Amino acid sequence: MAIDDRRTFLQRVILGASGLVSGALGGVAAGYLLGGARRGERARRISLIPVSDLVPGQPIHVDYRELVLDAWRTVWHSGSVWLVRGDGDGDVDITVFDPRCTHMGCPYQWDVGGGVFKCACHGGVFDVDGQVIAGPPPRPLDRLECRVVDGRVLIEMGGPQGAS
Amino acid sequence: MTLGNREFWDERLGLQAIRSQLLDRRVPATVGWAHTLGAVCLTLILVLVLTGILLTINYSPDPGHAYHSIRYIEREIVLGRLVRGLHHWAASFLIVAAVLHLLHTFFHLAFVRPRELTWITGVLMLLVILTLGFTGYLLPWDEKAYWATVVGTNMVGQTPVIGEPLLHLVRGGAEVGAAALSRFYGVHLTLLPLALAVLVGLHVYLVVRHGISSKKPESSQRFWPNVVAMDAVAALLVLGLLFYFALRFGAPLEAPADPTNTSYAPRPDWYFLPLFQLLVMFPGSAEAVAAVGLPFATGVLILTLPWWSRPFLRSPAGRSSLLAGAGLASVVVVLLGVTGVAPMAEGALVVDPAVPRGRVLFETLGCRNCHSLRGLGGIVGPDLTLVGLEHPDTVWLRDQLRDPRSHGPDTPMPNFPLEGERMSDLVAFLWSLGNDLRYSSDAPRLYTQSCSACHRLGSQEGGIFGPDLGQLGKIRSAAYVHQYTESPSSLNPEALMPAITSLTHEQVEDIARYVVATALQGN
Repeated sequence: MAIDDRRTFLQRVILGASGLVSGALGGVAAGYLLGGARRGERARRISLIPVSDLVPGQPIHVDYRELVLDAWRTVWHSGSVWLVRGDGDGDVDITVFDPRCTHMGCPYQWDVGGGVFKCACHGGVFDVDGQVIAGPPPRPLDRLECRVVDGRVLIEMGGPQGAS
Repeated sequence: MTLGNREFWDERLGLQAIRSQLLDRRVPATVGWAHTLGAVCLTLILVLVLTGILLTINYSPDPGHAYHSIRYIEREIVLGRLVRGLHHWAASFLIVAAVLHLLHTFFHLAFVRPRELTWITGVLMLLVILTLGFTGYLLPWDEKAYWATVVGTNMVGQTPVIGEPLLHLVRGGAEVGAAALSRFYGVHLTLLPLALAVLVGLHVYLVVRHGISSKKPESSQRFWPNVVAMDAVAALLVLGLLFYFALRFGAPLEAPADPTNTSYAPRPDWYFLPLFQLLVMFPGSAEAVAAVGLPFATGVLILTLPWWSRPFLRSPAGRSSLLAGAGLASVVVVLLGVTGVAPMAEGALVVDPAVPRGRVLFETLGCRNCHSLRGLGGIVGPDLTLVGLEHPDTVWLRDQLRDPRSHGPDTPMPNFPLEGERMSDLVAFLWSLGNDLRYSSDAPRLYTQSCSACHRLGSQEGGIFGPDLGQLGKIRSAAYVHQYTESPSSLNPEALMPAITSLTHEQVEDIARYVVATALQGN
């Protein structure tokens, strides 16, 4: 084999071998970093307060505790929601809001005097139905599924959002 | 001025000079496949650094969480098992490759002037690698990790004069606990890799500076691409073997660390077995010789080889005896290691790892706030020391956890809706509590016939020749009571009790369990 051919061949061997090595290691690293954890969020129901505790038109902030898997730890995790009962006389109409502002996720407050939700981070304002009145939030307050069972409010969680 | 333009980079980085010094150099024609060991070591170090970084992203260096974070990586992270397997096997492969590389260098006498520093940096690298191995295998915090570290750090404590303070420094306290794990992790991630990087840099610089030694130094071949091609192929083959081992065998993980486990037989990782076995040969006060003296002396001997070997290398006879001596020493070390593989005492009980995992859950979920074990814990709920004896039904236990009101509508116990393996682990633990004390319905009658003539059993009537056995189970295991019954003098030379020979082995076991369970249930 002529010297130049041999050189080229060996250079190709080096390129090929190092390509395979980098490819294998890079692929493993990419898969590991981007693959995420296999476990998904499971759907669950959390029992909150009796419906009779709710005053129509007045949102209240409710805490709950649930046992969750946080990566490798099984822990008691606290979460909260805003509950508000509608004014109507007929069937009980409950709305459950995710307590994170839809702008950047800050926790917001109910301003009793003004009758609005206010977020202290960037001045977002929502009405009692969660609609944006002022400020930078891009969409209305997120809602959670709920139902009334035996006179108690039950919220349903599960899927990518998870506990709040 | 495009990015692909070679002159662009050469002007800024001086690449041409690097290329001519490093790649275009010539090396002796005798450089062959055995010389690829250095490149193989470098590749394995690269794999260890990469997989190490990936592992730290999902690992928690706290005794309460370390084990579970490793299981999280193994079971729930995509390719987690592979990454951990690569890291585990690359460490072992690296030690083998480094030792082979050292032996190859030694047998070619490549450590003599002017290459003494190359030799020293190499030996120091081997020491750093062994320390990386030692600090690394504590991190999973399983039984093997914990106990091997207890023994290994005890050996450090054997150092004369400074042993005590050294032991405290290494452990961060008197025992192997959170401080030990934390500093082993810190050193494994920062100090040791930095030291290794510096040593690798020095070592490679020196190899390039002095050239590769050879019996025919006047011969030559191109480093690039001839030798680099051999290095690349060797690296690829070793990596292939590594992937095979990682995929086929994975990295081991035993039960979670349990400092109260008396049946475990500690064993260090394979590369420390020769040292471990040395302790058998130097019992008593000579232990420090084996634990510290011999390893230290060996290390110094190997490090200073380029100097004390000079008289030997002046004659062919001297050279042969040096090589023969080294060969013999290597064989002895390997044999020593091989004898250390099997534990010296019987009795490592096979424990279902779900039980210790369940115990960890029991502690972290706060069960002790309301329940006690052996009288230690809360008083809101019942003592659970023998719950596995009272409710040997995993379905019942599962339901009690998931919905306590299904068994008792007024109970204040909250729901514990655990999922999958977490539920089965906790149930396995609870089921094990007292389960090993399960006795037959014959036991009370057998006890009355064989024992009550001399012994009371708490509230049960009996003789007064021997002690009241009512509280015995709180301080003695069923195994102890069993052995005492069959041969009292084996445990107590001054015992007046006669050996009970009229009962079968199974009957004695039954009575022993009954006696111990009675004491525990009575509290």
